[in-house]
Amino acid sequence: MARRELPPQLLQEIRVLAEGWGKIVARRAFGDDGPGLDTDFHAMEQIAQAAANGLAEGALATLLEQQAQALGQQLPCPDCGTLCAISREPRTLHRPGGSVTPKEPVGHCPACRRDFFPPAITVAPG
Amino acid sequence: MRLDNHAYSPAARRMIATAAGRLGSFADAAFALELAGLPLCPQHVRTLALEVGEDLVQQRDAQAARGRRRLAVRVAQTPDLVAVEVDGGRLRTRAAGAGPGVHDAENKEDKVACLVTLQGDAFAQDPQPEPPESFLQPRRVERLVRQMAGQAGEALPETAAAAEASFEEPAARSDSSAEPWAPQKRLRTCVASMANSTAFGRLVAAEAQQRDFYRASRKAFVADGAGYNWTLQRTHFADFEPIVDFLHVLCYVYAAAWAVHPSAAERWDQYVVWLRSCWQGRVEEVLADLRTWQGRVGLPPPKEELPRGDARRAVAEALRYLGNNAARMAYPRYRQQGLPITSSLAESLVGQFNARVKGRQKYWTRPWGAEAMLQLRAALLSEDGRLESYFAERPGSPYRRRVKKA
Repeated sequence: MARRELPPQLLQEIRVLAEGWGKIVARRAFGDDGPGLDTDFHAMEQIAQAAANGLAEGALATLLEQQAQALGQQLPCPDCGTLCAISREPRTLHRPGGSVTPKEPVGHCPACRRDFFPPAITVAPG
Repeated sequence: MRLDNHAYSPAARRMIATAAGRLGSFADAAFALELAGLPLCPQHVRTLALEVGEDLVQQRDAQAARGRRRLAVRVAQTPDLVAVEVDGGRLRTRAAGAGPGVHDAENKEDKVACLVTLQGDAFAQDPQPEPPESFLQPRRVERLVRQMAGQAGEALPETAAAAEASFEEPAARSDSSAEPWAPQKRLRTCVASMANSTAFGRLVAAEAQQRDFYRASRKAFVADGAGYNWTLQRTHFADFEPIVDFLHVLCYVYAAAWAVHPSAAERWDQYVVWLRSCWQGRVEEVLADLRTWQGRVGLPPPKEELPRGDARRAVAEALRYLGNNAARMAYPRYRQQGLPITSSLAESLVGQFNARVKGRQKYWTRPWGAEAMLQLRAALLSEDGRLESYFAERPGSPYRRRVKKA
């Protein structure tokens, strides 16, 4: 089974990119002049945490949706191989600091009488 | 996506398993997870963590079932010096399927193997012919003996503090500045199980095979005198140098010396004589002395449990222990080869397991509850990042429980 380690260079690039978005968040939260002198670190940290959680949820939702779109309308049952139609159902996944609710692709195999959750094709990183 | 049946992201699953295996209880883990923005109840933490443990058990057993010789080596380089150290602890268990609370409580033994690569030289002659200072200081020796008795479950109460102490103390025993010849630890992995000694032996052999221990140029198997340890050694580690843990030898000669003499000064002098003889590989002299003492104090009466301090019992026990293990007590030769002579790494490891699985309020469901937690703890205590690897490589499930719609 392939490991899911991403190249550290890619992760560093993403981090630098997100730092830039941090400036946008700061401007949105406190305006062009920045926080007043009465704003304490706790408040700033709350803003930063909310932005980080929102960013994670947005990124995950987009990536999961793109992956779901790539699956097509029918997939074989991982047990018997029967081609089954794929529908979408919401699924909440809890993660540190929040949750994400993608519309997960679901196949129902009438032969096996059970649902399956692709992609069970070449295992994608996730 | 390699998700499983639960509603948690892979990062969350890893945090839950790590917290549950690392912290003292599921309640502590739940508290820590809540601080990290992942609120769960302790019972749910338990369910999720033990599920990971059971998964690890299945992986481990599947590897062992293939047989050692069919397993691939997973290290890039064959180590030069290796040791397999085996020890055991005790934990409390309860019957499964008997409802809430503790039913049919039983103490059970868990077996722990410490597989360690070492770094150290071989020498032209014994690098330390005299025992180290730490074995010749009355207060330190007394503390060591008490502690060893506590770890064996003989005298000290099983409190969380005792478990923590046993986790901390062994590091103090292996004073590297006092024994510069002693090999130094490089990388440790561990195997822990409630399985019987036959099955446990196969698990340890599988781990040793994957770390390429069998092709190392210097190999030691260190354990206390328990019979099953040496059956395991003969069955799976026949070309490893069998070495009986010197600390256990120390405890037996200490107890015998204390039992046969009336005054503290005489007891200490006798202990030093016997200890030095054992250290220098002259165990036959100690055995001869002990036989003489047994003749003087008499044999323990059959079918009678004598108190621990009774001279007849202490001498008989020392005589039996040293007699059974004399062939595994050539300490000058082991030191010359740069091999470890104590199982302090395994003792320390058992303390680390105990800190999680042993405690007044901790009862593990028989047999799977304890086994799953031991596996999770073993993955965390192994220094090769195997829990990370598990989460990176776990296949997930294409199926999931259907959620009833409201």
